[in-house]
Amino acid sequence: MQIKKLLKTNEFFLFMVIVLFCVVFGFINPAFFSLGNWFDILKSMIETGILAMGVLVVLISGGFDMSFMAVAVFAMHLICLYFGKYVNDAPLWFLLLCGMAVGMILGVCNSFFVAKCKLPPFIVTLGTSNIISGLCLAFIGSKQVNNIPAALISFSRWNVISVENAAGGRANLHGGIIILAVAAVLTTILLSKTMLGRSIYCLGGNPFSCIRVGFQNNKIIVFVYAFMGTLAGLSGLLHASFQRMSNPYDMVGNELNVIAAVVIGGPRVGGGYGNTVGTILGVLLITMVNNSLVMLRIPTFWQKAVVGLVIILGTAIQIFRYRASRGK
Amino acid sequence: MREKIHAVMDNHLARLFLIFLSALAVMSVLVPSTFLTAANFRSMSVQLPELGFLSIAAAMVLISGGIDLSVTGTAIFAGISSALILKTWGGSGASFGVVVLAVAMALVIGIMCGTLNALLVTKLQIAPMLATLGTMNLFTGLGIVLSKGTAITGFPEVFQRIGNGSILGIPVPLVLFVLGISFMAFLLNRTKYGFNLYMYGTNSTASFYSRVDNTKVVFITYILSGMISSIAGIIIVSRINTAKADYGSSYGLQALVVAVLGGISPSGGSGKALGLLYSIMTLQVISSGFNLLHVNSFIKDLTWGVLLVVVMLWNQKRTGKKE
Repeated sequence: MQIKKLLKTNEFFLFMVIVLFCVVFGFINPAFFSLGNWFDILKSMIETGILAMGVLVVLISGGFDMSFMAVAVFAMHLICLYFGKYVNDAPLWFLLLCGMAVGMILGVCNSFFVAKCKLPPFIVTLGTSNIISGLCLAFIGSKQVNNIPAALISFSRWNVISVENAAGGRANLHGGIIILAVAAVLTTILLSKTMLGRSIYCLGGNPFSCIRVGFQNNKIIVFVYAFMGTLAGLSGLLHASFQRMSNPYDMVGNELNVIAAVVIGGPRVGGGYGNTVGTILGVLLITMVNNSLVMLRIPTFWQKAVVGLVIILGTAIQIFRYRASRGK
Repeated sequence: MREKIHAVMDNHLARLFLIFLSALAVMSVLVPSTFLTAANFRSMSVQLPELGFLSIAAAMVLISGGIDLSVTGTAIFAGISSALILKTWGGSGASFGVVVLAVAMALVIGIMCGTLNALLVTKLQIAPMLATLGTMNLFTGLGIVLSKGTAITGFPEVFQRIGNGSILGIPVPLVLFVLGISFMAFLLNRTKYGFNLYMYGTNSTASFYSRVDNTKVVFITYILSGMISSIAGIIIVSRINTAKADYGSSYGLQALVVAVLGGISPSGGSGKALGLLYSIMTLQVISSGFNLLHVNSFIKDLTWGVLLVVVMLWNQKRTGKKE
């Protein structure tokens, strides 16, 4: 009974699609199954995955955030510039915490416009995205920072698993994957085990009944955008660590790629649906497609078209399955 | 007198016009020697239509209560297709017939892109934001694939005149834009389609029960949006005599900003062509003024963001008061 139910879920379907892709990719180029390739895919998932957790929570609440990349860059550039210059030996946990705090403050600013002023979230965060990246470039700095804190540099070399492969080289799995795992587990617990998490689904499902049940909608909205901002700040610092520099022109403009990965995982615009398993699978699918085109000897200029096709097919298939299940 | 001022301030169009005039005044005072010159006004009128056409495309879909993120994707795809046709049949020596074919091809591509969006939104009932997010990637991606990621350059004189020529001293793009926005105003105010569009945007269930053919309205809207975007694509390619997949990609979200600034409600059902015109002119004045002041481009982005949020808050406050 339980298994039958599981087989019908969107997540299981997505999983099967991923398996199918793996089989096809592996058939074309056996190197796809090498440990090194999988470690690379996992490493590429870290940044997107952490951001995706925040986007998921915002989408479930029925909101939308277009400013998270700007928030990530703002936190990254601020922390890297000042700590790099004045407190170069700050410990990693402190840097990440500061980045998250900066992100959280910006997230709360966003929520002010959505909760208090009742402006449509998509457009208003588009505006704040312009403002935040404008402030970053105008007042923090518009030049690339190479002198980033030492802890971030050493973090970029931290591998949790290192395996010697047949050719004599080493396949390394970056430790950042632990941060992604922690973020995903915490988000799962938040969404499914806490009252706050359930209230986010409630708000996305129907804001009016959410008030009637006794939740304070504005507080939920503030939490949701603050959560998004916090994860954005974290992911910004990880980005600086992976790049070993802080470039204020990075990331901004790629918002829609993260949102696409999340959407394939199941939440609907309008809110009330979605879970972390689907999101992780969505991120995995998009990252896999992005990373593997080169390996499949497909010219890289096909990348964008293929991602677009995956998004359209992904959402269309979900709708078909939803309709079929309602038809019964 | 005081009541009169209040009446003006309550009218969104009047307010926008005031903002436009003050932007014009501020820039004229700050850089009088270069801003108030014929050359500057000419360059503004050449730059404005590209974003202008994309804003019209975005605005039509916003009025229907949807959203179109794929306008730039369509423009890029259409622009590159026409560039390829010109390149294949003659390059800079291509005949007039080939130019006509290239322009027609771009329009057809625009219509096809719009049809695909409409199909996804109506038949599959994918939320417009997701559907156009996917097609944005797809169309831009197809543009990249067609051009193999490189720049296509060297077009015939006749084709370049679309973006660089002038009729009776007025730049061709501006003439096209004036025609475009008049066409939009005509559609919205004088046709059955315009009436139905507002109805559908306000409440699609109510319009359905009033015997409005909702599917038809959505189809026309997205096809128009695609076609208008492809015109922007042609103008961009023709003006810079080069087609490349990343030209104009930053216009996508800007077009939405222009539309919302122009008083087109993101929740659908309201907005006027005149508001759009004021808003695009304001932004052009600000951005040209900043260029003349040698202000960095990120200050421009910052100003746009602040302007967007402030205007939305202002609208909110005013409509809230009326209720």
